[in-house]
Amino acid sequence: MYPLEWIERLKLGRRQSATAAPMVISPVVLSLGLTSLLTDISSEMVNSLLPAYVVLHLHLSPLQFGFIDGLYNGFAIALLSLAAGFLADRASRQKEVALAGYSLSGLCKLLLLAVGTSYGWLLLVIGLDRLGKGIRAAPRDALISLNTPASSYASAFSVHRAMDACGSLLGPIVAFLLLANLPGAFDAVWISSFAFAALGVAALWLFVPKAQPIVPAAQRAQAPWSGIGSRRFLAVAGCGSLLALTTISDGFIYLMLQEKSATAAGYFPLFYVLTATGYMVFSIPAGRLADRTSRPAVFLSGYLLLIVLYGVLFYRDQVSTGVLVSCLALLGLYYAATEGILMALASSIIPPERRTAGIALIATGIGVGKLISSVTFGALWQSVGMQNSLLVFASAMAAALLVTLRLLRSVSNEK
Amino acid sequence: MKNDKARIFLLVCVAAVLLVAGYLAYVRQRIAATDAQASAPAPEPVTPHPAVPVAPPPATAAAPVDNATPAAAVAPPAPVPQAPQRLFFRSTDVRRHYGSVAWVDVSRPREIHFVDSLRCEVVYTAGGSGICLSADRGVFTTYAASLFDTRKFKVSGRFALKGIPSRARVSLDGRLAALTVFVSGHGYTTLDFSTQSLIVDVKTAAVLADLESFEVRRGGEVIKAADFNFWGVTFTADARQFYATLSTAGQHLLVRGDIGGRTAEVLHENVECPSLSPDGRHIAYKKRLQIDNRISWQLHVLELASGRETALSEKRSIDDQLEWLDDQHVLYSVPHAADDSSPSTDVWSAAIDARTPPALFVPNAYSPARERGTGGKT
Repeated sequence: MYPLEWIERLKLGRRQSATAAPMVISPVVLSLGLTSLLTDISSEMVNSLLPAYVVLHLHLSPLQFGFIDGLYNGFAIALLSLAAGFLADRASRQKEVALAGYSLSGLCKLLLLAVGTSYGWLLLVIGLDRLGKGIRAAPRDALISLNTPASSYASAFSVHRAMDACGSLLGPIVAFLLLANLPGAFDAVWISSFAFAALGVAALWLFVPKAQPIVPAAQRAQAPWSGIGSRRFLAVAGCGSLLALTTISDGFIYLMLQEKSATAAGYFPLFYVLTATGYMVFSIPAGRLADRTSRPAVFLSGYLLLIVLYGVLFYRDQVSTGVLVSCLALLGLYYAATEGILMALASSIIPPERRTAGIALIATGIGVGKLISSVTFGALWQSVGMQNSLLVFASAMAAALLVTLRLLRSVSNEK
Repeated sequence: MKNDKARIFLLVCVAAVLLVAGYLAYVRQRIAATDAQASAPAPEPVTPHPAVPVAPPPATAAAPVDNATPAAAVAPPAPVPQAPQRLFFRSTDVRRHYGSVAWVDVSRPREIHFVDSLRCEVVYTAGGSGICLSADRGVFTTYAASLFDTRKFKVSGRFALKGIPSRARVSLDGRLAALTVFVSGHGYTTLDFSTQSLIVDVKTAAVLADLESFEVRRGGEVIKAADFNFWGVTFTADARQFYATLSTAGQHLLVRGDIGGRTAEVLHENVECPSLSPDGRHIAYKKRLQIDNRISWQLHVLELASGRETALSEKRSIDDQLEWLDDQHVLYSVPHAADDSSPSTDVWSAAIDARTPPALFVPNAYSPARERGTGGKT
């Protein structure tokens, strides 16, 4: 038995059997879900309109102004969110750090109003918005797990993710409804987005209690890496990053689907919506299944589904609308089976007093993996073509899955 | 305790609803006000610029000529009275016909004729044909191009576009059309843009070529890069060639392309959205300058024979593909409000002599297209 998990079980009062546990979703998780739902409506309202805003309304051609330097921003934000994670773990300040992140993003919606026609300032505000997103994710996930019995981690994360996906579906709809009635009034969208963000912050502030300090004061003086230097943690974090490294980003999958089907690129947002719908619908069943059977098994199946998707893309020159929709639903199912489940896996092995930092570290590893994968896939596509790149990534993912299987098995034997 | 929190949350909800409702009401009022101002008898430019004197709207077919400089060699041909000299545009009047195609006889720019069956983001006409790039605003916006005839405005063909409409042109013989759209890559994570410029057969609505497939030469050498982006096509009078902007490695190059040969050649640097004059002697374009750390597009005219560039008297930053009113005057659109609080734009005109100040030409208009090649000589 892993000692720190034992502490946690002691806190829960009794040892719960994973197989017989009913789905226990704490009201705290539902409140966090509500916060994410409102915040995602707010941020997707803005995100879905940014391209149109910049080109049609600001009359600026971003081509000429230079793009957001994704890599640079990505690393800066990753470092800051790690720091925020460590900060949150000290004195159990998860709620405060999350509040800061949500508030920063919310304020950025107001700043959009002040930006006017300056593209430089617009980029800065978008950067700050992402920083807020970077800061808040890990403490929020830590709060979800800290308010949930260990046997229901996957269910709790799945409920939260389903609500989150629901918000990202509603955001674009709200934005387009607004603009359809008030042509060109982007400021009306920004204000409404701010209102949703404020509601999200209020829900977090009012309904989510401050995390209980769990660890005796003496243990707090430990080295910063204690608890997240264990083999099991490194195995999970490493597997997460490795799999992210071999995952083709959604953008490329949409591009490939679009090339192989007769749909116009105007339907790109619809691709995104179908994926999010799949995620929303499958999230809770996948989470419950993971809690009842085995989290690693569900997690690995998710990636197997992704390999199936790559296979379909590889073997089909043309995809019909039915296949297209199935592929997008499959992508949503993959998210449902992996994203929240990995956080549940991680939560079960990170001691509570390092929960936020540990989750931030895993998220950072995944983020860096995704960045490298995007750049690599783009370069491969340019040089050896779509089919070959698909083959390379599918094989790499199969290999990564084998490694993951062995690693997860070996660490679970350590118990 | 629990109830108190629920009550506070309810209060926050009410406050949020009030804020949004109040702001929406304000926006509605503002749109109406900007519009009333714009359609007032003597429209003031809503975007004041100290360097730009306001000239009265032109009353005759002649483009506005500054009275203070009668010596300026601007002598536009007298209009043929019978056939209307039509200027097509997109109406940006938010009260009525917003987004509809409209036209005026250039001798009577106040008398607007609306074509409400065509709603476009960008419109262009020549040689009896027109192209309309439209946005189908649903919950998820899609974009399409429609080809129509300029007599009965019947749509003859339609196809989907890959992104946000930017520019459109039709050749003088009405047989070819060109268009540029912004293709937003993955949209949700980056502001990563690229453009797509297509040449289209008007009769069949078939895409003849994507400019990215052209072989480009610079000083005899073939150049090719992944970051190639083309935009702002303008056809030559014989519709065998075109000019366009090629962007690569931070440069914005003027290229002349050969449609039959699928080749293009670099001619000049820092030329965006070229527009060839009816006499084929000049290219009007926007030149990218850095002023106070911000990009400012200044209107210029390039004399093709000599390579001489002239800055026009318009000093505002203009992001548009210019349209030639005649061989001496260009038309372009300017947003109503510098802070973009209004979706409306006006069409202004400027002489290419660099002295005559620009003047408002048609209020509440965008995407001007002076119809040519329909028999009546321009």
